Amino acid sequence: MASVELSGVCKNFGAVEAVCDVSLSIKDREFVVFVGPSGCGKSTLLRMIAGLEEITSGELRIGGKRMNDVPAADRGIAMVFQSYALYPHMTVAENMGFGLKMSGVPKEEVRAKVAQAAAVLQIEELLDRKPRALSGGQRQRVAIGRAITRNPGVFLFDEPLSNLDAGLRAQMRIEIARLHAELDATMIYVTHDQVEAMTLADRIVVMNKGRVEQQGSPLDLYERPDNMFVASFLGQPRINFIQVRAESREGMAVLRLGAGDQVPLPPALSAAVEPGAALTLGIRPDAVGLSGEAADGSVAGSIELVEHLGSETLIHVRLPEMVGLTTVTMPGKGRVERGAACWLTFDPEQILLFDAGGTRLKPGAA
Amino acid sequence: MWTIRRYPLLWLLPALLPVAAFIVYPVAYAFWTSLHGVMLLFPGEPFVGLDNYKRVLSSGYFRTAFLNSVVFMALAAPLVVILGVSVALFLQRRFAGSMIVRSVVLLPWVLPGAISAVLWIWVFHPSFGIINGLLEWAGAINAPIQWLNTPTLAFACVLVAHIWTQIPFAVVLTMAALAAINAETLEAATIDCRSGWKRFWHVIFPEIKAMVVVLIVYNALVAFTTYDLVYAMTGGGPGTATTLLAFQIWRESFAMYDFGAGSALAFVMVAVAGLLIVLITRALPSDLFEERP
Repeated sequence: MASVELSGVCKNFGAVEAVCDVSLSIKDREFVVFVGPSGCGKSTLLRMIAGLEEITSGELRIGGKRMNDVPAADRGIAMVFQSYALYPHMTVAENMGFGLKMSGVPKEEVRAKVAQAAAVLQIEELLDRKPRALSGGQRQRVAIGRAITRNPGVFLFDEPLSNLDAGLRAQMRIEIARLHAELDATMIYVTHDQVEAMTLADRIVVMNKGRVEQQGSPLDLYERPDNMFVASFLGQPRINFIQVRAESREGMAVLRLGAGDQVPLPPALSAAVEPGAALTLGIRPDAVGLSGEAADGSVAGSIELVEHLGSETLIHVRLPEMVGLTTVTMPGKGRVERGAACWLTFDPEQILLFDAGGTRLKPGAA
Repeated sequence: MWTIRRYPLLWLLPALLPVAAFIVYPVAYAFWTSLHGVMLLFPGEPFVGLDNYKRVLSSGYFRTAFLNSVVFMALAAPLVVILGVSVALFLQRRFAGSMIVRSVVLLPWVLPGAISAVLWIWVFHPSFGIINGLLEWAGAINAPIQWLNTPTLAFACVLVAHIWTQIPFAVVLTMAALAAINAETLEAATIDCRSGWKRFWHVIFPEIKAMVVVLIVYNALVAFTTYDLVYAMTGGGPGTATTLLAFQIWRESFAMYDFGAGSALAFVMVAVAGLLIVLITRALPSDLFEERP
């Protein structure tokens, strides 16, 4: 097991800056997920840690040792790829034992390690098969088995579940979480799927355009995103953004929506707001209440679309003079009618406010 | 429906007629010739049965040409494949000017055999050739080496020229096979294995093995039937040093004007080549062309 330190790491492809000045410290046995949209540099960063991509500038340390110029095979890492990357002409057992065989480990020991890893993943009956005789899920298990057999200091996962269907993905997600607990290993995991990020990570690193936008525990990022990008990337269904203007009412700040409705703010957040400022209100769908009657601080709208998911219902509400729809989640199979008038209330404790530049206003930091 | 059954045949006729005219007829005519005494200097074309075959097979020329061809094939085929695969592996890397190098490597492919031969005659020319020039400049030799006039050297020269002309095709096919390998599989190998050679042997080679075998079979046949370089570079000489079987067919037919013997020799060569194909195919592992996942 090993820690991973990145300091000021950059990667340029010609004139293109793929990763820019990334500094991270990943603790021993931590599960860190790099998440971000396509092309944000998360895979490039992982590949630099693996040694598959040269580091243009900055320093990489694994287990305290500088690794910039160490070949991939000597970094004490193992990687699981999106396309599984199994050796097609080798059996499952040969695939899993290949790394050890190449580093000169005696045959008996290789066989024992392979058997041990196969037992962990419950793939003992597949050991004599060739990869082409396996299903996608089985192939990915073998790929993970190959990584386990190497007994690496750091496991690297490059979107390992992207090629699987939704059901298998959920199953393998649990499997990987179980493995992390069982192996007690440092794991770095790249994905563009925020559900994987939220469920697996001890710490999420959100990346955008080659830079780290924010890092922290999943709930921390969910509840206290630094900016609108992070807020919109994490959470399913997506957070609602509503354009508002701050006003002062009886010494407290309130938010005025386009149609004149006013939303009160809790005192701590109120102190951070300057009257007259154009702001963006961010509110998660589960922090919005929906009612058939007006109340103090509620916002009028009309129901435009209802999605029944069984365990919960997504209601998309049109607010007057707003471009997008505001989404509300309600538990159960709520019976609501399309086109009906409704009133939304926002849980004041869960209101996030962003300035014109998209940065979140911190409560009490006026 | 009679139209569905008959139409394909009718539509195939325009393609089949030229095949009949340019392949079936000449082959049949050559076979007829091989059974008759067809000599330009003698009148009449009497039926002689297998006489031509007996004469050709028992001649000293045949044994020399056959041995030369076998040695030529045994050296050329593996060398073309080894060099072709090496060049393909090298060209896979991206480096400054790699696209230009790729084009240059393919150049010998577009040159007709006779032009390649002329190029190599100049390379090996005793007085004006670049090889002697370089050796003299380096002080390695005092007198010019008679490359194409010394029996063993002449054989090696034709071999070098032949390999040079055949490498591009091997490179293209190998690169196609290499491109079909999953890039992530190669990266997994980079993590599993430090040594480049071991990676090639354990991961890359098994993936291109089928193509390598196809290339070996193909190059064995090309080397066994090669003719144009010998004709243009050495004329089969000095002596019989570079007389290959295909060249001997030309010599029997167009230098001796004994078309019967030339045709008989041609059929012997086809039989040997056919036997080679069968032997090589039999020697292949049965799972070689199995479907990849």
